[in-house]
Amino acid sequence: MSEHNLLQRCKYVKGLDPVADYTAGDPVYTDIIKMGNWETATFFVYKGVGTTGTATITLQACDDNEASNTSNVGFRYSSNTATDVIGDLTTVTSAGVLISAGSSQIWAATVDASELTNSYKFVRLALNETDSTAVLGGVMCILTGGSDQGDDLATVIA
Amino acid sequence: MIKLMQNAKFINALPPVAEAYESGPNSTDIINMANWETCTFIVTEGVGTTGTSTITVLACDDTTPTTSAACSFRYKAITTIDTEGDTTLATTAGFGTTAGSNHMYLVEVSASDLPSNYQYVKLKHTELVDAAVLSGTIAILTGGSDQGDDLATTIT
Repeated sequence: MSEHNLLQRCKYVKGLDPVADYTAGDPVYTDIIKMGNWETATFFVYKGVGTTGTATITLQACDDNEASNTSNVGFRYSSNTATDVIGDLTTVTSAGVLISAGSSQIWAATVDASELTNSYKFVRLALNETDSTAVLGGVMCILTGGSDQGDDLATVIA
Repeated sequence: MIKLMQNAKFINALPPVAEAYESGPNSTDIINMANWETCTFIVTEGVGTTGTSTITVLACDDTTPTTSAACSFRYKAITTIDTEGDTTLATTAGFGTTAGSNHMYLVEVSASDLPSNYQYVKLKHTELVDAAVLSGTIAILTGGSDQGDDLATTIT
């Protein structure tokens, strides 16, 4: 099996199911994802129609799966906003990154478990609207670098 | 360990839309796998409790495509929270999605699975049960050859 076969080597999480106005309820959050058995979490924010609405992405380290305590963390991101041209991988502070206006984009944000503050084990992506015009979109997460968990991967959201 | 941001290319292959399978077949972008080992399509579904589609994967000879041929592939379904189904081999006939909101389907094909002389691939939805499902598809390419600082386009 090649290391490039993602089906066998990653865990997929429906972080925020796609919906007609994905930042409605500002701020909105993905599932809170446990990184205890995983090295890296990569979130993909994907957009359909919506030329105007914008939001800021931040990543929050959480102390448990209810986010009793949170702490924003820096992370790396890149975007695919023009056909399939991927922007440079860019490091941002805990203030996050602004998603630009425009339909049919992907913004990917990644963080390692070792980068979570306060030894927190959980992480979620937050979206804060900066222009509340509806955008059809969603967020999914892929976890990589998993420890051996046997035949069945443990849940990461409970 | 694969680092997705450094080692993969991601494409908004079928941007999410309110009625993704209507008047199908609806297909993703046609993706050039010449520089890549594996393509993983991630189909995400939001609201839509009734509509379903048959998912197939087509090998294509160019970006038109002038000629295409269905190929076998591997897939997983995630229909309950984050519990993944088993990896399943689908024939060229593909498989039918299950009715219900908030599902995810992972579809993977290797360049070596494509018939000879075909280096492009696309995922196709053919509507089975006609009811609106909000859905989109991301493609992630892994196992890339050395392309220098900037990855070449894969859809032209």
